[in-house]
Amino acid sequence: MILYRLCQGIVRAGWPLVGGRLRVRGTENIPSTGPFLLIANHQSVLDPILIQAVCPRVLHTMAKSTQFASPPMRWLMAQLQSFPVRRFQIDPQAVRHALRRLAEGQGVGIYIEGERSWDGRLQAPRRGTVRLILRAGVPVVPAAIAGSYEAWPRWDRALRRSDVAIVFGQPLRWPAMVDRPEREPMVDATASELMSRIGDLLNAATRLRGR
Amino acid sequence: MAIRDLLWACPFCRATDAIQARGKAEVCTHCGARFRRAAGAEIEAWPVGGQPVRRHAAEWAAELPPVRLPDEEQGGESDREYRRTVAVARFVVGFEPVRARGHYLGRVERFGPAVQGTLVLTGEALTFAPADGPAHRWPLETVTAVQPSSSGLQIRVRGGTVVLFRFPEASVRLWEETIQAALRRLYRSMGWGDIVEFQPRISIQ
Repeated sequence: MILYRLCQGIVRAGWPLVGGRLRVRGTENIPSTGPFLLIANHQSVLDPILIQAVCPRVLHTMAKSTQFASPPMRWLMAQLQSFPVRRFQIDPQAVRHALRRLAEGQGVGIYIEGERSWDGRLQAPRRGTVRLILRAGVPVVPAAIAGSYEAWPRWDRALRRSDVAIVFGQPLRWPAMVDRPEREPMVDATASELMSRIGDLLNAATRLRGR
Repeated sequence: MAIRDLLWACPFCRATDAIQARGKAEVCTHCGARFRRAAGAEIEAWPVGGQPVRRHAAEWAAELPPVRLPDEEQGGESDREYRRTVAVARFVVGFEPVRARGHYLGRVERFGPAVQGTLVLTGEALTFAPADGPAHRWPLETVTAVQPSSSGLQIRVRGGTVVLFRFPEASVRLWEETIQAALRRLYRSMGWGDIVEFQPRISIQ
């Protein structure tokens, strides 16, 4: 955990030098104790780095398995409390890991679109993440990041200077639904409510960033 | 990734998959318009004989025409070739466990060597023909997932085969959307329903 906190400090101090201003609102919405799911939009490879840097609680972030390909990255990602998910098939181990961390009272971070946006706009949510939310029954903190797309969009290889804003919303809560027949009819409505909230937060983050 | 991965058609002449890298810029090989990243996520374009135009990437992307299969209007033949390009394929040859502090976190794919060849999409199958060796043909109904990755496009086929394709001359996004359009058409024509998700596996409404 020392390395995690050290990296948080390095990113917070270093971003203004290589990126720009980093504005954050709503950190009081992160539960101070107990489990929570942080669900955010995904614009850039920078998102997990910046969100983890400013989140007051340690986040166990779901990351694509190929990030763990080389031994040094595997070590670093584990130190940063990330865990792998295979994206081209249902990965029960990733779900188990997330539920285990939540059962321990920790925070888990998931980018609900499952991949970076091509054009910076909000994409459709992954239904598997919505099912996990309904299964877990823990507070869900919606979050949005704006400006990271301008810093490093997925169609370019270079980082450019850009102000970034991150807004954490008030926690939402759905009751735990362990049984699939109970959970399944709720998926579409839950996804719609959550994405609407993230959309509002993205607008707020865009205003906060200043364009 | 490159601008052509986002802008799979030239916004000026509408030529598909015509934007190619030329030095620090990317150029439409059909009409000669030049593109480069400007400030932030803006793309600046110089149409031949016109004034430079600078817009946010999302504004350029919003002008792209929808991806249509070549014979969509005619109702066409299923074995018609939709798209063909040079591709570099890497097959997943195994998995390695990921552990941290004694805990098992999951598995990570181990990719085999890069193989250059030609990728062809028809209404019936996706076929990869390496420069050396036999071709791999995957009927579309066996494709279980399609998704872009950091460097290309991944597909998974029934039976567990996972392949990463990189496209030296083509747009990743165009290939992703064309394969998805072909799968949507197949699922509709077979009466299997409308696809709502292509990853982590194809699921229908």
